[in-house]
Amino acid sequence: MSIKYGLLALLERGQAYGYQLRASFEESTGSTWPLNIGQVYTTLSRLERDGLVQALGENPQGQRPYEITMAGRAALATWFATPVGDTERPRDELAIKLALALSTPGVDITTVVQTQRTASVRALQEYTRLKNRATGGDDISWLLIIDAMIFRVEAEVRWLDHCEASLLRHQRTRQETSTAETEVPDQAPEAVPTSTGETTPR
Amino acid sequence: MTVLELRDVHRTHGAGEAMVHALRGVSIAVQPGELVAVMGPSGSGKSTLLNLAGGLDGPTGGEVFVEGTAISQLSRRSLAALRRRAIGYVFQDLNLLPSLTAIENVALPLELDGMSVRKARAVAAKALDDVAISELALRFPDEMSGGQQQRVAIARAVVGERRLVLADEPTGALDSQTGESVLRLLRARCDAGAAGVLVTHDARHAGWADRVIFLRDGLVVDASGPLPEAEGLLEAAS
Amino acid sequence: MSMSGIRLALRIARRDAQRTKGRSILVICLLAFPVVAIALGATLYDRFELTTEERLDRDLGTSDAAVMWQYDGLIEQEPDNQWLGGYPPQTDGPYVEPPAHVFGADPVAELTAILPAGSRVVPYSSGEGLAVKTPSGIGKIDWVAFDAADPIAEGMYEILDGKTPAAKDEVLLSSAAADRLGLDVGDSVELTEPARSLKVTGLVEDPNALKGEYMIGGAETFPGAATKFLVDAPGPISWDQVTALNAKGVVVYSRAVSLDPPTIDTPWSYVDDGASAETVSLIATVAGMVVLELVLLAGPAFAISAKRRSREYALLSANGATAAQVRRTVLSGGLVLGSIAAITGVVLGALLATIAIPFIEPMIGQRAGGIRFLIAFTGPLALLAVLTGVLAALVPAFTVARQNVIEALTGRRGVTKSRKRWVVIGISMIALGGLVGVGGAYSGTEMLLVGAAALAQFGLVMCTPAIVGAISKLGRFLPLSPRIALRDAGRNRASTSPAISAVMAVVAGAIAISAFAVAERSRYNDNFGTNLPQGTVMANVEMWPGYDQQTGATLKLPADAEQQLTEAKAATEALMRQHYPVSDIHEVVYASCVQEAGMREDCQVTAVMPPERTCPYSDQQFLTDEQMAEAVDNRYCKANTTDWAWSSADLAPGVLVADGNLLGILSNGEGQDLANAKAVLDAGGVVVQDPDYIVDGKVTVALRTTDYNSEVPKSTDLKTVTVPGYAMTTGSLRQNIFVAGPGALDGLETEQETKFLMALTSRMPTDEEEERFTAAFDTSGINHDFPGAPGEGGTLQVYVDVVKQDSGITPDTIMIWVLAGIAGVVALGATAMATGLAAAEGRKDLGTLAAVGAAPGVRRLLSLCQSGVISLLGAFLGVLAGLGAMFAVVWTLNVQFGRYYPREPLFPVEVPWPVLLVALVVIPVIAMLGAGLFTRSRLPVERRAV
Repeated sequence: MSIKYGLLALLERGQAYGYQLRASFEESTGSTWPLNIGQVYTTLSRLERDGLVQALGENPQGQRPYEITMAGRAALATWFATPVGDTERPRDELAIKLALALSTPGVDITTVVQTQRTASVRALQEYTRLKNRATGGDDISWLLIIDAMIFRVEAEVRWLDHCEASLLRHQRTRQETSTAETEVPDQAPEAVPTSTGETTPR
Repeated sequence: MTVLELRDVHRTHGAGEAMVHALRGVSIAVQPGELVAVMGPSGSGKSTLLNLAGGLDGPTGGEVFVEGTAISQLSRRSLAALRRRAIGYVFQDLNLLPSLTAIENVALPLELDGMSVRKARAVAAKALDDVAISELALRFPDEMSGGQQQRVAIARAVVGERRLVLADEPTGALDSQTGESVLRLLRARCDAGAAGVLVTHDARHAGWADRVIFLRDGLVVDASGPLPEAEGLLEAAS
Repeated sequence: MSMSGIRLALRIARRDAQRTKGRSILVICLLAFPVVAIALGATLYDRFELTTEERLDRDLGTSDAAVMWQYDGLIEQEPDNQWLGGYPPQTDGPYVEPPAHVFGADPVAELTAILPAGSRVVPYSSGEGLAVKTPSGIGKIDWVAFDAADPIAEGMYEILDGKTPAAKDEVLLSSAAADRLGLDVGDSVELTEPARSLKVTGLVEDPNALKGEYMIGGAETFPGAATKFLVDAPGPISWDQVTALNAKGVVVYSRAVSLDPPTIDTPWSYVDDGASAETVSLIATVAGMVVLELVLLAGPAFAISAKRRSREYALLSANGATAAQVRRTVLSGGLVLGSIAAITGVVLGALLATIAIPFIEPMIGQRAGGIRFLIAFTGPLALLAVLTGVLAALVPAFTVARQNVIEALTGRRGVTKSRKRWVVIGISMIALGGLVGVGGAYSGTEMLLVGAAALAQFGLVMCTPAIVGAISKLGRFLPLSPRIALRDAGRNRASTSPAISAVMAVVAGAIAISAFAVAERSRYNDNFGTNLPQGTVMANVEMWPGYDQQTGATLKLPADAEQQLTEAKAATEALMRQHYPVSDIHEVVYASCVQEAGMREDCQVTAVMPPERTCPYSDQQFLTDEQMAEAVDNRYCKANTTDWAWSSADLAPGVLVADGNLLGILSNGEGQDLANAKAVLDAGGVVVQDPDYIVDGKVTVALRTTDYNSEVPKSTDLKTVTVPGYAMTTGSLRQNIFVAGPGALDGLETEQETKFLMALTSRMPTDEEEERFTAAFDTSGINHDFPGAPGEGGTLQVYVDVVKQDSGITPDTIMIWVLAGIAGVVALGATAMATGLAAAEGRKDLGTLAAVGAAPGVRRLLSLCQSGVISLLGAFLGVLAGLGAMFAVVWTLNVQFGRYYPREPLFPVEVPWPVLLVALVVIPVIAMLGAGLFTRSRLPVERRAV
């Protein structure tokens, strides 16, 4: 997502000047996306250039509000209507890291996975704590954004679990094949606890 | 004082060829005010751990301490007494006795402990009030929604002076909103000084905990330490 | 429906039966139990009900016929003449008995002459009551004169030990007689009249009379005319030959004719009109009740199994099974279990019968016939068991087939609501039952009563779920465990109500029947009882003049008669004192009319009822229905069957002369009342029971003759005397016994004679004492005729009897306890089953309880409470229903007995406390203890490493 459409969406509510826009932006994204005022003005001038917003006259306080144009509204509508494509997201550094760890000698990939998971869960805990502290229903937009991040991290943790399980299975299969090839049969594969071993009190 | 401590706990089921190691040397300590989440795939030993913590199961090795008492030293009778005085359980479903009303369910551990019916009900009424469902006091479980039942279960888990709450997938049968309110209650209980253990396979639920422990094949493979009061996370997420 | 559909349903049912073994076995036991009982009974009956061949072998041995020459002249007989009787031909004229046949010197030759050529005839005779010495005195045994060594005897008697007698003073002794006399082969039987000694050469048994005490000897040993003859003919004796013999006055019991009887029309032959419609409907009702009971018992097991597997059935539905297919699966369960129960029951019943027969034979004194099984009866019985199984599965089947698939799959537990419709129907049935019962009571139709009971019972069964539901609401005020138990019972009404109904039905039945038995017993005691102290020995002393054999004129008593009477009394008194624990002997003296010729017969001394208080029917012997109705309503008609002396140990009606002391014993009176009575006696007055005899403090006593030859019997008072009178208000003096004080009857010309010697005892005499006394008394010669001089003669007779009221264990009491036992077993079974089912249902709850910190004992306590709820509720409802039914029956009968005159004692309303105790206390306690004992105290989630 770009700041560009964020500002457009804020202006859709009504005219606003730079500092207002920055405050609203941070408010609605739950401060998870801090902006500096320079970014706001740069973006605004680009939008003005493209004819998506237009500057209004300076008010007595010396502030210069902007308002959205017809073209700007059309552009905003198009943005909301278009799903976010996969290619528009940033490259997933973690995936690339794991892929590299697998092929780089001397790197223990399970440690990489566990370290990452610990961090991710830590992030989850923090987000949850934030969420727990956000009381009342007025801050719904912020809660949504926190939830978005919680769900994303959750997905990441699940993906990590999956990676770990896949890696383990892969390693085991390889071990078994190699032991079979070197004909050392008394090296039995480690017993895998089954779910029958568990008792659930209900 | 440590409310719950598992010291190098082993638990095997069966014998010989069919022997299965559910837990092999797990050590955990839970302090008052702390909520610890236990995560792991199916068969990792999560539920066994919870049963051991609640004294429903005994370890084959190591020792479990609840409020400083080694539970393997206790008779079944004393264990039962420990459960009704010190430990509160919340399960995924079927938490409540269908023959008892909400308030009777909450009063159950107190009544089992010999408190008079009248007094137990008064205490239970307070507990129901704490989970904001005092208006359902005279309903039977059949007449309540899943979320309401789970609230009653939590009220029962914490009623009286109990300081250890054990929850096994308490949100399992609930939708995510209702589930979240149940976790919020649990969290609030721990913030008020109880020690909690939450078994879940869902990272999102584990997020409510102060610490998260990963189990795999009966071993702790990973543990997130206590959460520092850090505010730098926001930058990390951008 | 396709074959494969049935097979699928049966397969699922079979697998389920295997998977839930405990419950399946329970259901099988329930269904099989009555089958076992009935099959056992039927097989026993069948085995002891001999076939014709078996009977012929026992009656005739190997002979072809038994014959008896009854008359000289034509007679008729039944073809299967097993009692060997004949009847003169029916004519329109008056009954004329043909002359009896009198044999000449050689009866055998006489018979051989008229029998088919080549026949061999063996005489047989028997008699009773030969006096022999027994270990404790003198006893009597029977005798048979018959050549037991003859091959013809094979089958009639079995020689158990020793050999057949060869000499005149040798006999075979029946094993029962040998046991009683304490003799064995080689010993001797000592006869006393006349004294002779017979050597026992062997022991013998008659398969038809194992208990018979007899000797078998030759014709020389026991001489006398043969009673019948066994015939060994060259060929079978046909019906034609039988009728030919009948023409000569000979009756025949022919083997060939009995095996293949001709169809003839005989007016006297016993007509078996088959089972009447009433009997059939009675049996149908009883069978219906039994099936209902079974369905109630087995139903919950199916219900619970269906409920536990409701998810499975929902999956079947979700995968496209129709409601009918699901229903069929559940019904198949009933079919499978019912079939197993049927086969097990029949086989087990037959097996038990085979085991039981050797023990039963000596009890009923008969050997059983050959091994056989009553297929014609057990077959339908087995079918009934299968049907019951299917019936028990019927309701669950329909419930399950109708269930909401979504609810079942998501595992939501719905609350069973009792259907209002059921309650309405139930109450209507009870009401209808009540109406029918009243109808039955007034019309005296037993069938209607049984139907009413069945209706009311069904109605109660239908109301049970609602009652259980209502009662479970009371749980609020109970402690934890009973509260949970009660609410569980209410929630799982589908399974608890049938169990409660089952307990109710069986308790109700037991209560009703035993209550009636108690009432019957106490009515019997009212009627035939006596108020004399138990254990008193009464000797009734009688002497009467003889009759001249030729003229029929009454003889005079010999001059020494009085002397003999006094001696007899003294001898009797001495014997009583010798053999009984006698504390005191009183002579009970009656006043009678002075003996004059022809006077004594119809003269009696009696108190006179004032005419205005006399019952108009007092002298009449037979009353019409209208007269009875009038008499019943007349307050002065007091005749009551309880007033009659029913045994020789009972005081006869009349005026007896006694002092105050004896009055106390006879009347059982007490306190001031007795003191008043004694005062009146001492003052020369008369004590009565009925105050109506007293006019202005006086009683009139009369010598009264009654002429029974007139149309209406007419009484005339010859002479009267009026003396002070007193009517007792306490005690139990009978209203027809009047006690006169010394001198009270001086104004009348009466004789006073001792009719009874009343020996008061310190305790109830034992049977042994009685036997010893009887032996001594019988040989004492007290009872005798005295011929005296010509024209004189008489008889002196003393009867001695012990006042003994049936008390303690009488057959009725045994029956009540047996009933209570059956009710107990069934109730316990139902309770145990329902408790088990409730426990299975509540397993999850126990897990929760454990987690919450219930001590291990709570599980036990919970089971205990659950069985308590079920058994108590069932017993309570059963007691209500049973007592209700009993009141209905007693009331019905009293309405009928109330119409009789002389009045009969009515049925008292008596509660059968033993059964009540068993139902309300013993069963619940045992059920609860059992539940407590058999419930593991470990909670299901608890598990610990060793």
